[in-house]
This record gives sequence, C-alpha cells and structure tokens, in this order.
Amino acid sequence: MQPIRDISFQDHLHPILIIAKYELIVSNFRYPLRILTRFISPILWVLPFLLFGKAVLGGTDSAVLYELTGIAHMPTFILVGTIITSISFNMLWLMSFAIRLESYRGTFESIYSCPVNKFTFFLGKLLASVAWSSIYIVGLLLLGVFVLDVQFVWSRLPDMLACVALLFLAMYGFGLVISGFLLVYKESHTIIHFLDGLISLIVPMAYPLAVLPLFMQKISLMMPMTRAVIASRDMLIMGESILHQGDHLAVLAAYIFIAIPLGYQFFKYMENKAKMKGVLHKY
Amino acid sequence: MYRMMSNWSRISLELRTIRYTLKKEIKLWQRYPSRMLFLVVMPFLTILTLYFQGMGLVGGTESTYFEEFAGTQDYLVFIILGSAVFIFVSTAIWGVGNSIRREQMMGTLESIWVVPTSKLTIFVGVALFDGLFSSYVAFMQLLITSLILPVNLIDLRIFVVIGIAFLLIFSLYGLGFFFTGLVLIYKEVEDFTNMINSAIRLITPVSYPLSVLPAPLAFIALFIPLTYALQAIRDYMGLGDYGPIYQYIGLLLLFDLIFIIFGSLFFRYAEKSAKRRGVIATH
Repeated sequence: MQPIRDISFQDHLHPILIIAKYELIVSNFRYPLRILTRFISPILWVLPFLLFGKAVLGGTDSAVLYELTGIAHMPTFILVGTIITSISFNMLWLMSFAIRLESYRGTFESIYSCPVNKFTFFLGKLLASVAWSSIYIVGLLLLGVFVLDVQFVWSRLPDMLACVALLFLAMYGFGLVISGFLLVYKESHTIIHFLDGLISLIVPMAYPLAVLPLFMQKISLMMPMTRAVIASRDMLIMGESILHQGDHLAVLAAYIFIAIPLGYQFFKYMENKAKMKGVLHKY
Repeated sequence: MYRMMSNWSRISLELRTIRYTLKKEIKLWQRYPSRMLFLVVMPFLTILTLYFQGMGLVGGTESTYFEEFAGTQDYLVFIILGSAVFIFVSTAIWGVGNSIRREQMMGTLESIWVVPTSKLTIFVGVALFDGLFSSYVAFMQLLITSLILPVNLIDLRIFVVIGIAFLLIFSLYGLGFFFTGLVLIYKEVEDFTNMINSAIRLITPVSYPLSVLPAPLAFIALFIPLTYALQAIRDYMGLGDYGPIYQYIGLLLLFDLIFIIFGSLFFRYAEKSAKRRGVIATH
C-alpha cells in the first residue's frame, strides 16, 4: 500500500474533482427538479427588486440614487448587487450545507469515514460552487444586456471577475465557520435562511450603503460581500480600475489570509465538540 | 372494525387524529425554538430590505408614481400588509407541502404511513396548526413593524385582515397537498418549494401592484388566490379601490374548493404511483 505522505498533487486533486462532479452532476441528475430551480432562482432573486424599483420610480432612473452614488440607472445598479449576492448565497448554501446535506441524504457516514481531509472535501464543494456561480454571472449579464438595457463599462469586466475570484476565496472561510457551527447546532435550514435574509439586508445589494443606519453601515463594511459589491459597481459601472479599489481588496485579502485558517480551526474545534457530545451524525 | 363503526364514532376518531397531529407539531416547534424566531424575524428583514430600497430610490416612504399603479402613495404600508398575508402562503407550502419529506428526514415516515387513518386527516392536523401559527406570526409582524417603522397598523381591523387570510388558507392547503404529492414522486423538493415560494411572491401583488408586472405574469397572477385576498385586504384597509369585498370573498371560496379537490386528487395519484414503484420510503 502506498504510504500517505507520498501522495502526489494529482492524488490531492482527484478527490476535489470527484466531489465537485458528485455535487454538480450526480446529485442534480438524481433530483431533476433541482436543475430547474438552479437556473430559475437567480432570475427570481433579481426581478422583485427591479419591479419594486419600477413601482416607486415609474421608470428606471432615480435622482435620489444619482445623488447618493453617481449612478442614476436603477436596473444597472441593482443587477451588479444581485450578481454578487446570488453567487455569495450559492456558495454559502453549498459550503455550509456540505456536511449537513450528506446527513440528510444518508451518505454522511460513508463520506466521513473516507480517508480524505475535510479541507479537500470543502474545496470540492467550492469548485462546484464556482461552476454554478459562473453560470449565474453569465445568465444575469445576458439578462442585463438583452432585457434591462444596462449601462456597463465592459472593458472593466476582467477587473470585476478578478474581484469575484477574491470573493470566492474570502467566502471559503465564512463557509467553514458556518459548516462547523451546523455540525453541533443542526437546524441548518433555519440558520442559513436567516443568514440569507440578514445578508440581503446589510449588504447594499439593491440600495446604496448611505441609506442604512450608521451602525449597520459599519457592520456592512466588514463583510466581504459588501466590499465586492461596492468595488464591482465602481469598476463595471463607473469604469474605475481594480488598482483604485485598494480598501475593498484589502478587506477581501484579510478574509482570505485570516478567515480561512481561522475558519478551518473553528471547523475542527466544532467537529471535536460534536464528537465529544456524540451528535455528529444526529439530526 | 373501523367499517363497523357509526359515522359519529369515525368522525370522533378522525378528530382525535387531528388533535394528536396538532400536539405533535407543537412539540416539534418547541424542540426547535429558533424556527419560531426565524419565522417572526425573517419577513421583517424582507420588509426592511424593500424599505431601504425605497429610501435609496425616492428618499422617503411615499411615491406619487406608486399611487398611479396602486392607488396609494404609501408603499411601506402596502408592503407590510402584503408580507403579513404572504406568511400564510409560505407556511402552507413549507408546512403541509413538505410534511412528508420532513417525516422522512426524521425517520418517522414509515410509522406514520402505517397508522390506520387517512393521510388527509393527518394533513388537516398539520394545516390547522399552520393556520393558527401563521395568524400568530402575521399579528407579531404587524405589531413589530408598527413599533419600529413609521406606520400604525395595530387596530381592530387586523382581525378582519386575518379573517380574510383564513379564507385564503384552504386553497393554500390544496396547494400543500399538491406539493406533498410532488415530494412522493420527486423526493428532494426543498429547492423547488423555495422556487415556487419566490415565484408566487414575484407574480402576486405582495410588494408591488399587479400593474407593474409584464402582462403574461399579471395574467398568471389572476389564477392565484393570494392576488384576490391581497386586493380585498388592501381595499378594506383603504389602500386603493379594488371593488366590492364580497366579490373577493366569493372568489376565495371558489378557489378553496377547486384547490382542495385538485390537490387531494393529485396526492392520491402520487401516493398510488409511489407505492406501485416502491419508492414511498426511499430518499
């Protein structure tokens, strides 16, 4: 038998790809309704904000929004916010639910006893999340171009995508913390739905940060999603370069270099706690 | 033995089943108290999100354009009432609609399935609990919003609002039976349920009037009883002129009948189909 320390890079990569394939293909084709929902959900996410905006504005341009942000076109403003939040939520669900869902599916014990590091397991989920999110980004951008007449500076799209890549990594630590928390406290649906609602409120997805009360603005600025939303708007709508987004990138980098190791340690701590309490496999 | 009983004895037995189902649902909620907090707080987060969006777009809680569409300038009260009634929809779809899946996840489906009582009686118990629970949550929401936001919705008219919402819930339970049937056929329908929940919110006048919707979506809304319940409630509360209230009550009763019959028939079909394929207990 091959000693475990002789494992090559390819051997590390293999389980990541297998987990991503399982998440993307096997589990979705087993439950075909999920494929339908995956494609429709981002549209259902963005439309209510656009329709509500239309109802209060009677059109698409807002003088108040322009005064606060320098952007007058409401659909353009909202679309960027919803792109970032929809991929953040997708990742949050896939990562946080990574272990809990296995428990529901009855595959928890098999996966847990596999000689694969949990970090690798989560990387597989991250990869699946990146694939889904890429589809979301393309779909929402197409919606923007063909239906909403959005006004983007397309030359800044690569800058925005670089920012999204950083957001993925920043969210990884976030996902590890929540997943660890759910190992002990269960009730995953409730907690994640609640987080969805809370993040939707705090992150300036459909409105400028300035309309939030001051204490909420401060909390919001500590979130990686807020930084990614603001930076993406600056780049894709205002045409600024990624080099001018130093503040936002610094917060994202802090999440990557601090939250990932801390998140993994927290996950391991909660895993041990769940084992000690004997609740690892419980519902 | 059941066949030899008198009609009254049978009814008494069915009522006892409903009482025990109600008791079981209460125990479950006591087991997971955070769900209660979630249901009370979550709709409030949605209202706040739209409140901030309105503030960011028009700088206040009133809009003259909104009056052109909805007959009232006050979009905040419009949304609060819509969200309070929508709680009944959410609870019915998630409660009755996913009750089978929930039992399956908890490992109690088989025990419940072999109990010598009609499945529909069990669902009536779940539905009754959902109705009472939704009324409580809707009342709490109106109370909290009146305390925190610049609106006052706490007066005796609330009881009429909840009364109209109760007329709505029978049709929602028909929808819930339909979902239960879907669960038997397709199994993991959490994502699908979430999608239908969002889709109903999108195409009915919960957060904005029907007139801002594209014509095909507004046409679909005419076949959803929530549309009429909301119009009746808003007309009664003086938020726009939607015509005589008794017309809406008649329509809601008609929808109740159609949805209950259709939902029950679909459930029976799905149950038979699942038994024939031997997939009742599979995940």
